[in-house]
Amino acid sequence: MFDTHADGVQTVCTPSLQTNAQRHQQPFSVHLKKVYLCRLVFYIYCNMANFGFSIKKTRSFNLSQADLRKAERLLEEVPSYRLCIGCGGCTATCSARQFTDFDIRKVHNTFRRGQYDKLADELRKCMLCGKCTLVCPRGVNLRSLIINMRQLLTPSHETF
Amino acid sequence: MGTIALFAICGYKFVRWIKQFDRKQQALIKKNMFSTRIVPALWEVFCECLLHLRITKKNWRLGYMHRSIAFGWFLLIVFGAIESRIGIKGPFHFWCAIFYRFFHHNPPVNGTEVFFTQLMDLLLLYVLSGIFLAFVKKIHSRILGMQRTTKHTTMDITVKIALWAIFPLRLLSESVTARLYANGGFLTQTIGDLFSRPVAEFLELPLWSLYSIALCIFFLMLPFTRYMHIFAELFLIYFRKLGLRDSVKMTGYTKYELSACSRCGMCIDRCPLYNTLDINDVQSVYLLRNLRNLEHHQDILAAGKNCLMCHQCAEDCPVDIDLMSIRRISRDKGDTDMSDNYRYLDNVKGFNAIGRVAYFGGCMTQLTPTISEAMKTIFDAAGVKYWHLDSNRAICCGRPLMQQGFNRQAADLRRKNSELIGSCNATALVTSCPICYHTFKHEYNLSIPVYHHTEYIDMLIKSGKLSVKQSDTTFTYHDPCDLGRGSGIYKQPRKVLNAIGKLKKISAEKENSLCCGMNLGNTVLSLDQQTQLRDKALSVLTEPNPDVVVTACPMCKKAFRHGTDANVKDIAEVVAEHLKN
Repeated sequence: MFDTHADGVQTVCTPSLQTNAQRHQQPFSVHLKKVYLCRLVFYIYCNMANFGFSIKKTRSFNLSQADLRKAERLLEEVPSYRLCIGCGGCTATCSARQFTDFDIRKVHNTFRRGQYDKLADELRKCMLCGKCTLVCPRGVNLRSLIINMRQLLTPSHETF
Repeated sequence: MGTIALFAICGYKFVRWIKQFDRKQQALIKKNMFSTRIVPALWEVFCECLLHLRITKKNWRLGYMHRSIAFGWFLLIVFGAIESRIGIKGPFHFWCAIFYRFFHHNPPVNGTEVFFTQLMDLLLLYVLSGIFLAFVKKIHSRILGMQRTTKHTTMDITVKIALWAIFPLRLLSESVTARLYANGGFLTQTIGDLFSRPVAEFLELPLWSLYSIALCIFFLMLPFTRYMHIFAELFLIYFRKLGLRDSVKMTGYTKYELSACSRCGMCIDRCPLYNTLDINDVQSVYLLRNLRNLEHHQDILAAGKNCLMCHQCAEDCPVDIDLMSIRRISRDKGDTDMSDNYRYLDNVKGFNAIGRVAYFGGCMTQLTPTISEAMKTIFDAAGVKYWHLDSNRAICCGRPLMQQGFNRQAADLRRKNSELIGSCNATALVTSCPICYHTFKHEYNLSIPVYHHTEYIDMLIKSGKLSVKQSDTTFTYHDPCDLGRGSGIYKQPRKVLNAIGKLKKISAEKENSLCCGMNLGNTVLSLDQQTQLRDKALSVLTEPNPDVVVTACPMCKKAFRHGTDANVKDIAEVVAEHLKN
């Protein structure tokens, strides 16, 4: 799933981090513009692609151009993270999720793919209660993962 | 000369630290400075700094060794001063006591002089026996009951050698002088007579000079080594008796604690990371040393992280340093710890629980719902109206955040939780998680009483609201780290279990119970290592082959359940099964 192909071949999309609430808050004219832009892009893609479906541009990213240094550092600090199978048990049991939109699986997946913006704010929602770590079927040390992600994203700790 | 430098350096350091006390600590000092609390402080100084009673209770050989050096040297100084005061007719200089025999050549004549001479010799022998034991401990520490001692720095080792050299040199110097002037006691005169006169004359000045140099090195280097604990401990005991405690950040009081650590190494033997996992460079003694010397920040962080926070080391510390708080201070997250994170909780409304007992299961109990179901059965059976605070969703008590150094975030959660609990108007708060219990009791300022479910069940049985039937089930009980060593609750769960069945004794219980391995304090251990800790704890619990292994913590239950074929149940479940009706 995370193999980087050699020449900039786009990988499968990552869901965006806007919540539904945020999308609905935009003014209607901006929304309209986005709709037309999407339709235009969709038209172009439909003509470019030879097979029946296409990838929406906003939901794709280029893994070869992503800055994976923080992600690699995270994997060094928390080696058990390599065991993650993406089951989502962590998100299912999350205490913060009982109150707000916080998807820890989405957050750590995104981090691993090199897209760090907005993650620091999301991670502040975590109460560090530890249920995710307890529930993980592969034994990933999620609490350590979250703490390390937060430290890597703090400006004063940033060396890269 | 050494002593002047010593007092100057110590005085400077102490004053600087006092300036670093935080506001709460300063207020306490101003209030209590000259109160009667000085008396228990002096008593503790006598018992611990001189007699080392806490160490003697753990191990009498170690206690004897430390006592002979500390108390012996203290008495030597005191009686030496008295002796020279009596003996010297002229002006009195402070160095006269040290070099008394060198300057005062008359052999002891009257009763007092003979008494003092023999007494000084006896005390010197006492101290020398201690030094001998210390030497033996260096070579083979198990003879004195310690599996492992601290790995000291070069500076510490050098000064230790200087300290060890002081007393044999004193013995030899006094003996040689005794040979020349016959002013020695039973020890010094006997040894002195072994020398011939010309050898004695030749050796006299060099030996006294060496003695003096050893003393000087020791005193000059003392403030930079572990021996600073001699003075720091006096002040620490005084401040502690006045009521000062560690706060969440580094303060002057904590700086006193860091210097009061004598690096005796007693915290290493107890640490489960050492005795089960063979990790021996992260224990409290090394953390304190790194913090004191402000060694490389990364080392402090790395060593600071790898700790279960299970309280075992704090149980053995002879100076009674609050090691858990210092560990937490070392984990302080600084900029990463932001405030104002939990705005999403602002809309969580309070509830009305007038006349009811609020039951807070805790995050972990959400994963072991049989415990909260059992508690509900117990509440119903006792006719107590309750309100299950976190049946749908729960706000964490904040302890996991605090243990990792996110103090501002934990304060946010505390504020919100306190509001909610305060607004519910319950009569009491009962929780089935020891971590939450400790936090609600000591970190929150709730106006209602807080009980752990073991205490509460005990209260219900005592007041007659709950009755349990006897059976012949055998139990072993596991004292959770946070309930036992952390909060001191040992009797109540045992009373409850004895009312239901037969509680068997295990080899490591109460203050010595082993950590289950599943904990929120350590973010470094791998799952394998945690499993090893769990297996060690389980082997102790299943050794007498009980019918049920009883726990009082949802995390311990989750840890043990999959590690053994034996029945593992929480105490609430056991009680719920044995209700009489």
